[in-house]
Amino acid sequence: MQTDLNIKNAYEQFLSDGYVSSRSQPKSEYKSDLKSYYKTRYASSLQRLENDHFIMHPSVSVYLDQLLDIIAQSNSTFNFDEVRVLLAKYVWPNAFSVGDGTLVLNIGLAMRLENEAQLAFVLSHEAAHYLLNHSDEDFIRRFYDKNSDAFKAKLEEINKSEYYQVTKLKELLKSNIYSERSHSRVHEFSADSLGLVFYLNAGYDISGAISTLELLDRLNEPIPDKVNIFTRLNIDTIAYPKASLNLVDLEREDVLEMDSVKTHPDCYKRIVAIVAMGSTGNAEINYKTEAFIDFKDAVNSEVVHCHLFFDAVGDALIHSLNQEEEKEMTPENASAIVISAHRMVHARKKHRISTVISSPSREDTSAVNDLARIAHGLRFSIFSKALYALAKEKYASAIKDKNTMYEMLAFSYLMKDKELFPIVKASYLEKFPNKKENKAIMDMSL
Amino acid sequence: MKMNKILSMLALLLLTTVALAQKYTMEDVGRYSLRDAGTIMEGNVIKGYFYFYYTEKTSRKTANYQIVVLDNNLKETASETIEESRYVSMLEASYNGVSVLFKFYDTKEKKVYYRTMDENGRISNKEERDANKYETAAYLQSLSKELKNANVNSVSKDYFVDMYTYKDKGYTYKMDCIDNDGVLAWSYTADAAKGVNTGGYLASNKDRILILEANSKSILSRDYTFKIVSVDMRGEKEYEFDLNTSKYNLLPHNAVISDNGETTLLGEYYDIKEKSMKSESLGVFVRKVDSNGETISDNFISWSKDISAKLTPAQRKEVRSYSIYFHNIEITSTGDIIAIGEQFKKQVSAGGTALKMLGNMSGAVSTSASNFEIKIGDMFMITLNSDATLKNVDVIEKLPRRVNAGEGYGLVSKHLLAKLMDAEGYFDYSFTQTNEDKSIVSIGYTEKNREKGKIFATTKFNVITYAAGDSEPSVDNVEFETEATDMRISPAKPGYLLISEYFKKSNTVELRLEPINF
Repeated sequence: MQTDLNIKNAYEQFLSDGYVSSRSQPKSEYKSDLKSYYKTRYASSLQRLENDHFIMHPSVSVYLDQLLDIIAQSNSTFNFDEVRVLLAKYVWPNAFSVGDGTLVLNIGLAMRLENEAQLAFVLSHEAAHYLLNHSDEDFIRRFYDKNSDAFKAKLEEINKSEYYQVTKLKELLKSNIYSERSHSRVHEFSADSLGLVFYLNAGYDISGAISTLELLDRLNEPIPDKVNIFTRLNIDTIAYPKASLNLVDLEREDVLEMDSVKTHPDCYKRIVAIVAMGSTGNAEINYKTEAFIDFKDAVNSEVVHCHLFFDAVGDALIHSLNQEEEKEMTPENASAIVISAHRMVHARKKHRISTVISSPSREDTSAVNDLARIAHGLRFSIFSKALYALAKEKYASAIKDKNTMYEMLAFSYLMKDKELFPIVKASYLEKFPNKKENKAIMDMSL
Repeated sequence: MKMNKILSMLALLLLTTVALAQKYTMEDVGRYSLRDAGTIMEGNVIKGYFYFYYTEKTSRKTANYQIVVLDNNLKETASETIEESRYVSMLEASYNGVSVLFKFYDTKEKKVYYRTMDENGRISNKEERDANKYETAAYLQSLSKELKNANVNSVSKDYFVDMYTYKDKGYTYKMDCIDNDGVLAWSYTADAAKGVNTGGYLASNKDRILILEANSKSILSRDYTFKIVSVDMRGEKEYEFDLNTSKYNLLPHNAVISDNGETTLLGEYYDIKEKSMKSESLGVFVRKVDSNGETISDNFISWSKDISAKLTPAQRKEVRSYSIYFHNIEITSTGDIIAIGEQFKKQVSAGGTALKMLGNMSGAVSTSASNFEIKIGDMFMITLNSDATLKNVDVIEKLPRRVNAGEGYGLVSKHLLAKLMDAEGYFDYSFTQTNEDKSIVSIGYTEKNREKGKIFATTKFNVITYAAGDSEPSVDNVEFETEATDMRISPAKPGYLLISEYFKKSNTVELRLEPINF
């Protein structure tokens, strides 16, 4: 989707106004440190905006704004004037409050939401973080922890000790991280609590909040695939069984992911806490509104572009093939396949495949993992031929934009396809006749 | 320690090492030298990597060190702290399928330590011994020049051996066998015959270790005789045999023991009337030996007839002017024997001679410039059928390179010169890798190119791959753009390369595995 400049400019103005007003904060012992923190935060927000990380189009923005308005109007004791919601191109399922009033909903979470109630609960929770001033509180607490007398005394003691300095520092650091994580968990419970009030006041039923938390609990479980990539690429699994592709599944082991030290409490604990708060609302409402369905359609059509935006070519290719199995192959998805297939083969040729496709992991779907096995483990000559055959097949129905045509041109050149290369080259030069830009292309010949 | 330094240490500890299979990022790299890093080998196969670095002082004489072990998928399998002398360095590590053996050297105490790490990361107590003066000199040189050490080998799932020079009545060598608990199982001392007796590990299986012994009258003598000695797993000599026939002297470069106990020796052969270390070789020999050391067969493939017949006229002319050093041999899944060689020759250096003359004219006592230089030529691969008859010869062209030989290099024989060049890393050959069933053999080598008008040479990395069923080998050129300050390509698990990129700005080293393309 093309960025709507009006939406972009309005958000830029919002960031700028917010930053100016944050500088006139009341006097406190942390004033100068907070100022520097706000400056960094402002710069990061601007950078995200300039780098085009948000989907700024009326097809998604209007609906999100309307939903936020409903929540705001139903909770008029709180001031939602400085709250904005944006849909980000990030494909990992998450939402977060920046602290300057911006609530960010990642497309990776938006595509998983099943109804409007779930979306309303996510927005209510993130708005609660902002209105409870959690961002500033976190900063001040971390600042205090680092500057407290007790912490300084411990550092001094370590400084004076001649031996085992690193061991002692590690112990100190560990206790600090545990303390910080424990505060984060308290914040999550309080955002759930106030967010639930916002959400219920807006007329939604508690079952929507519970189903959101259940959904969040399942986020690490990959979405089932429709496509079998070995079959789709016509790879002989007898000659090249998965086991021969020489890759181990990724196992992430991180002590900070243990339940007792995670930033977020486990979802079932949050559900228990929410249920204990009591139930109101109307369970009979159908939250799959027409507006929500339109929003989801807009989100789903953008997912493949978001994968390509962050060069997640494996995900883009699998997403497009899944769409083909589920519904139909759209020209956008056909283009994404051409682009992804060429970038993967090019990366492999240039010995950079590990920077483009990660190893198999429990978090990824089985088709994405199988593609990783093929990309890393299959003999190059077989891998490149299989991907080229797929790209050629899809090129016919792909959008013939500059990007897609250039990728097909480069792919046919790499594969030394004497038949297709001159055809694509001629049509590219005809459609984009900028001689200066095309010099390198004109020099290409087989 | 100043407070700001401790605060910066605290900040660095906040950074974590990011570990993903096939990719690994080490942060805070500036704090330790990558000298104490290396590969963990099981035979010729890379099983992982180790990193050893100092972390903190624990007493006046001791310090804590961290040993980090990554498997061949770059997954961290162990990160253990050990307390050792403050003067300790890690020399090398080896893996036998059960444990990793680490060999350390204490520069102050002049002691060698061995410790093993099991699959649970448990580190054994240390086995220690005094290093003799010959070892001390070698270890100090290897640490200062960052040379590869290859004295430790895994010889079965139970043992490792370490070989080192030893002097009793005469110069000879010792082989210590360390078990999985890091305890000395036995020690084998070779006969200290008259003169000098040196030994080098050739090959092993679960029953025996084969050693190539070279005997000479004195250290300065250039007249060597060679024999193979077999030592069993109790440290007892089983058998030995001389390396000659009625017509030829044999100089093996490499050996491999098959599962059935049959040994294949490959190297060059010489006219028996000539002293082998001085004369030109006549060709390549393959000797097959049974498990009792009895010769099964000898095959001789001559440069002049057999190998020449497989070359183009231009290659024939080139080959005659070079010697070949065989880095490795592999027996493939089809029974073919691939000998991996590289051309080299010693020649008079015009620049070195001119510098020397200038030095003499100006009255200087000496100049380090040598009259000799070594020219390194093409990769030279010989493929033999399973009956050791010649199947094919592949000359893989690469840009020739000249290396200024050090003072004294002009005096040594070509064969000793090749060994010295190999130890000092002068050859372009880097490694050989095979997959488990040996249907794919990959050979990595560098190629330096100095473009016209440029002061510094650029280095390319290439991999030759022989795949069963392919009519000819393929060459993968590993070239890519990087923003890294420094980049290294090293061997990895079969079918892959390890690419290490050092980013000075962020003080990080990114390791990643990339498949070899063929």
